[in-house]
Amino acid sequence: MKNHCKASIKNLSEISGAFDKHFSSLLSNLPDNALSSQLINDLKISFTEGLANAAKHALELEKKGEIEFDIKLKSKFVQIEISDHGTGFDLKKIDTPSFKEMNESGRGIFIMRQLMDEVVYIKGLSKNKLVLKRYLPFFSRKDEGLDLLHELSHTVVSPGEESEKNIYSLVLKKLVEAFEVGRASVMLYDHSKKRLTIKAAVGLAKQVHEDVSLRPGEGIAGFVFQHAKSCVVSNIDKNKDGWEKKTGYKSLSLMCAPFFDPESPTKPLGVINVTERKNKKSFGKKDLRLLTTIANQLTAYLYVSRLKETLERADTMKREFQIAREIQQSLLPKTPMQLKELEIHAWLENAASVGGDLYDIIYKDKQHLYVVVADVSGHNVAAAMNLVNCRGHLRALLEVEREPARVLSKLNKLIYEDLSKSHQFISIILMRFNLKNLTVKVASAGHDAPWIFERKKAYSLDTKIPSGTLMGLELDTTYQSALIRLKRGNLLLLYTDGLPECRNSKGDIFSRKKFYSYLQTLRPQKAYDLIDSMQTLIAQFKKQAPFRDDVTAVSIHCL
Amino acid sequence: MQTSITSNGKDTLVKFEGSLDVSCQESLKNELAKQVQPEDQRLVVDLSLVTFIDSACLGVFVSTLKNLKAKNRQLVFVAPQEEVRSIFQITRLDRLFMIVDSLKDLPPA
Repeated sequence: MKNHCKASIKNLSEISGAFDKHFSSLLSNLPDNALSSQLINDLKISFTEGLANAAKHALELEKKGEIEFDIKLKSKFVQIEISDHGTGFDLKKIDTPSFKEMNESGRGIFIMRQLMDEVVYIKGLSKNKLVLKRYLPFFSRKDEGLDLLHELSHTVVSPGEESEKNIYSLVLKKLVEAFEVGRASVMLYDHSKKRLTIKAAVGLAKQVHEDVSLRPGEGIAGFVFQHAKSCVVSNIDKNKDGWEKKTGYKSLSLMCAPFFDPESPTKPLGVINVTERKNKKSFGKKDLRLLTTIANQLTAYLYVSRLKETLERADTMKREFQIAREIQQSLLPKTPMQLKELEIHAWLENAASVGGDLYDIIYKDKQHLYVVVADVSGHNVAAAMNLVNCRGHLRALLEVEREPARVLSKLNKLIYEDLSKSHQFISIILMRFNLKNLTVKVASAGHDAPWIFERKKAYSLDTKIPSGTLMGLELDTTYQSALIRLKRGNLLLLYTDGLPECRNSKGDIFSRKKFYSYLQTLRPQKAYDLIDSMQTLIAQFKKQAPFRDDVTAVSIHCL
Repeated sequence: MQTSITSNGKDTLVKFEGSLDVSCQESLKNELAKQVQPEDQRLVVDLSLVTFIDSACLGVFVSTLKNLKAKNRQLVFVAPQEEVRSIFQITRLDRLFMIVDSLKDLPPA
């Protein structure tokens, strides 16, 4: 498929029309509305400014031939390269224009800098090149802060908290913790009022909360909303971009990122604002990337939440749920499993919906046995299908690959696309037991580490097992294995976070801390003892409350 | 770029149509320079049919505003499309220019 176009112009009059002509040929490869009209306009003006700028330095002054350009449309960004043969200039020396004086010129570079994510000028001996890059919304840049994401994903997809308002509040709470800020808000675009208004906020006086209303394009939030482009201001007093300091700003540094309508991921639904950092430090580009990532995840949560609500409303779908659940249950291996070297007991409790957890035991040959536990974010049909798909791929992969880390890397490559399409991820832990010498090779994709129970102590293996990236987040991620030596009599516990994050009828979470201190006191004798302890613990805590998340525990006793 | 000019005695109304970019900077400059000549009227620029504007043409608007101000006359922009308005906003010219949503919203001359 054609994804870039190269052409050139020889005089000024060719500038107008150049973008429409060449870019439309690239766009024709894409589905309608793949890029918003605002984004296309942002690209067009930056392109036009770039050409005009090159023309100023090449055509008029030097009379030296043509200006070449190359527009590349990639899945994650658009890149425009403009080359001329003129004398060139020093981009770094070009400052922002004065916003109060009425100068006729000097706005071209500023416009490019505002609208593009990267503006680079390379001055060469015979040729100068201007490179303009704009990341496409939603995909944005490389994900960061995966720990936080993991946590967010689990909080948000917990059933009972799926309403959009709750998602906003949860995301805000997490933002406050992640950035240590005093103030954060979610603004939504109100189509009837044609204004951005605050939907949820922390650290904001109620009056301000109700009064703030912006037109798209107005102020920083309006800019971010209209252009679907996040923005960081390190010091509002000294900013050279012409942002105005609003009264009521206590802090100088702030960030804002758009989040999108899950149904049309080029159109923002609103923006997230963060300001008043407690340590008074300025926000930087790294912070902005994390904020952008969280904003993208917010989009994903809204998607999951809407999908779930839609599905739950439909009665017929409930029957489908039931069938899917039964299929899922039937895929689980039969336990208890008794071998000469190991005894395995397992417990998987399904929450009301499908999706959730999975465990599998694959007996490879007399010497090797695989145990896997996985948890998918989300409780809908898509989640269930992703999980079943993951199980199938894993079983197939184990036919050709043995090393757990390599298995996980390949597995991620196979299921990445399906997962990212449905905005889901999977945490998984894969253990390969060598039954002869009682060693275990283990690799983890963001899954809770197993616990080991010895005669006199119990501890988590979290310091021994490197926790890799969740599946479905990065295509090219790799995993590392750890080697664990077991002794006869040791017990291992694998579980999913439905256990420590179990809720009672009031909605209180059991908590990891309490879970860990409880585990430390346990001295199980047999595989079943551990399962029994888990079941008793959960029953005492949650009493009659239904399971809101799947719960899995797999207990392995080395005989 | 296409231009139409009308006057109602109080206002000179200039309506541009199409794309205002560097290739028509000169003709835009000439067109507006002519309209700066009449001494007593307010200059109203209707942008409702303008689909695109770049910094070269923004520069022409700025110098027009400067020339009119020197003569104590007003310049009002009417009904810019969303994309054009966003360029005014980015360059912060929305703080310098008087912009109204429609001809009905023009303040009394």
